[in-house]
Amino acid sequence: MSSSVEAITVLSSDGDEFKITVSAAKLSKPLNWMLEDVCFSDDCDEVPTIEVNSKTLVKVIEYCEKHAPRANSGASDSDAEELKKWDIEFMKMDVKDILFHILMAANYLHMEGLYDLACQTAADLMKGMTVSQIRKIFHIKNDFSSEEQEQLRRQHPGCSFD
Amino acid sequence: MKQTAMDSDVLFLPHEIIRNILKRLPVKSLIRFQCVCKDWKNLMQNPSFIVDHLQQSSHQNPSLLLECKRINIPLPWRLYLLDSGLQVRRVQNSPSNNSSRNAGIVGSCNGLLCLEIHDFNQSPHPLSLWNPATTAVRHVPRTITDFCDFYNCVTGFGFSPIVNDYKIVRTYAVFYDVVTKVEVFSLNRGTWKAIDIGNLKGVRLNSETVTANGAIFWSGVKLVREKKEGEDNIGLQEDEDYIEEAEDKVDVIVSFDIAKEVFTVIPRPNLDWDADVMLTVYENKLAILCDIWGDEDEIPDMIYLWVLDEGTCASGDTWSWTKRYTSSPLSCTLDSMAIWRNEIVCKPDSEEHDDKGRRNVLCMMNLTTNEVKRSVISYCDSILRIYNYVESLVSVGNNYIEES
Repeated sequence: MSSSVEAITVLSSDGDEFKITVSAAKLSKPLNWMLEDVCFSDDCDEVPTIEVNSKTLVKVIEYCEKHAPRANSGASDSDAEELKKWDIEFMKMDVKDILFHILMAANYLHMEGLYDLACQTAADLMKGMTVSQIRKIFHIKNDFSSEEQEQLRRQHPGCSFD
Repeated sequence: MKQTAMDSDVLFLPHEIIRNILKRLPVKSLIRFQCVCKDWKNLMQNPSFIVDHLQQSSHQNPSLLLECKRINIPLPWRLYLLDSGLQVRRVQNSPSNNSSRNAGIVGSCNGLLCLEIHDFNQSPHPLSLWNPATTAVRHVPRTITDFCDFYNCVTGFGFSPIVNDYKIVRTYAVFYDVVTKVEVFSLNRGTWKAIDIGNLKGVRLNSETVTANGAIFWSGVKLVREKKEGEDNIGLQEDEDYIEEAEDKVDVIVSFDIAKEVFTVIPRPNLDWDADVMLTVYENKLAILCDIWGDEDEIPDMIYLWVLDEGTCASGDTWSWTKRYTSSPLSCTLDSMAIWRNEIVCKPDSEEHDDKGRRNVLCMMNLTTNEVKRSVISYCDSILRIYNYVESLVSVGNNYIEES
């Protein structure tokens, strides 16, 4: 790879093209490996595909571009504070619609910072939910028999199956 | 749980991701979510998940327990939890709350508390293990020693990752003299066992205790018996006045290795004779908070922090003390109580009240910046002691059948 390349093009799983700067791509180990392995010069036709849908990839790239300067150079406390606020705004998203996709993508792309942030956001959203809300968003079926439910209720009077 | 393609309409998260989310939830939510499905219920009882959750909880929300006595009301004692957002809430369902009995915390470790229930019909006082977050209680069986009323018990509680076990150590002394017997209760084993007092010979222990890094610590004094020439010692051993006069006392720290079940006696650093000493934990090591009381105008009040390093050092000893912090001269008298998140938590000597008459101020002294912050918190009672605490799912071992 020539050092003059500043941005690379990748394809989403939907087949859309996205540009991502080299410094931002370095936040992800698999993307970093791609940078080393694949030819990104102008006369190279091959565009790597990332198994993440377009809607999610837009957000992932947005996160990478925002965090890249700090990850590469370190930052002052005030920058860190600002970035924290940005993260909170960035994470204001629907759980089922996009947050879960971000979680999968961050896991697949080995992006520790984004993965932790997304896990924490999901946990904060789940804290106050009822059991039936949880089952709905995770697509989980209640597999307890009525006897087992009764036993759990006895052990933990605060338990509710609804 | 099956994993399907990411962009299908129904997205199933892999088990690993669900686990990473769940370890960040408070215990209260997790107990509720046991009812989601069998997979989740099993996960919450899985020892390695419990450890992950504990680590996350220690990192995310290290808390304090405030052990309080009520103003003008002798019984019962009360507990408050101060979380990392400085919110205070009362801790309910203490094993001693069902009656008018009082209780005291022996130790706090990984979300478990060892309590001594002050039941004056039973000597020694019965012990309970309690996880306030899950509300699980285990009554520790009566000990194997035949107990005489003139015994004085000093107890300690802690965890060793080496043997992956929680242990309670109970030492017995006649009145307030040197330790004569030691028993150890293992949570895994579920029984007491007498152990050799070993290095504890000739040591008198103070009841205050902390646990860190696989050991339990107490402060105490080692009595060095001197035989004075021309004096007849026989028959005088029981005479307390004699003991006070004829023995040299050395201030010591006693450590109990939870895995090896061995005591070590460590000399205490040289402190002012009238300093107020409090054991605490700093960077997972034993530390001593030392309050020096000045006099009105000339010498100001100060707080020092001494930290114990274990492992062979230059002098050949296997321990060394370092004075890690010296406060600025204090403008008002502060009573240091614990270390929490790089701050010394202090209680102002003259307590302040809000308009409802509640005591409500703690001072936090930052160990790096030296800054003293006054934190207004709301609690009603007078603080006796402060314990570091972290909410966890750690089990008290419910498979044990309580002895009558």
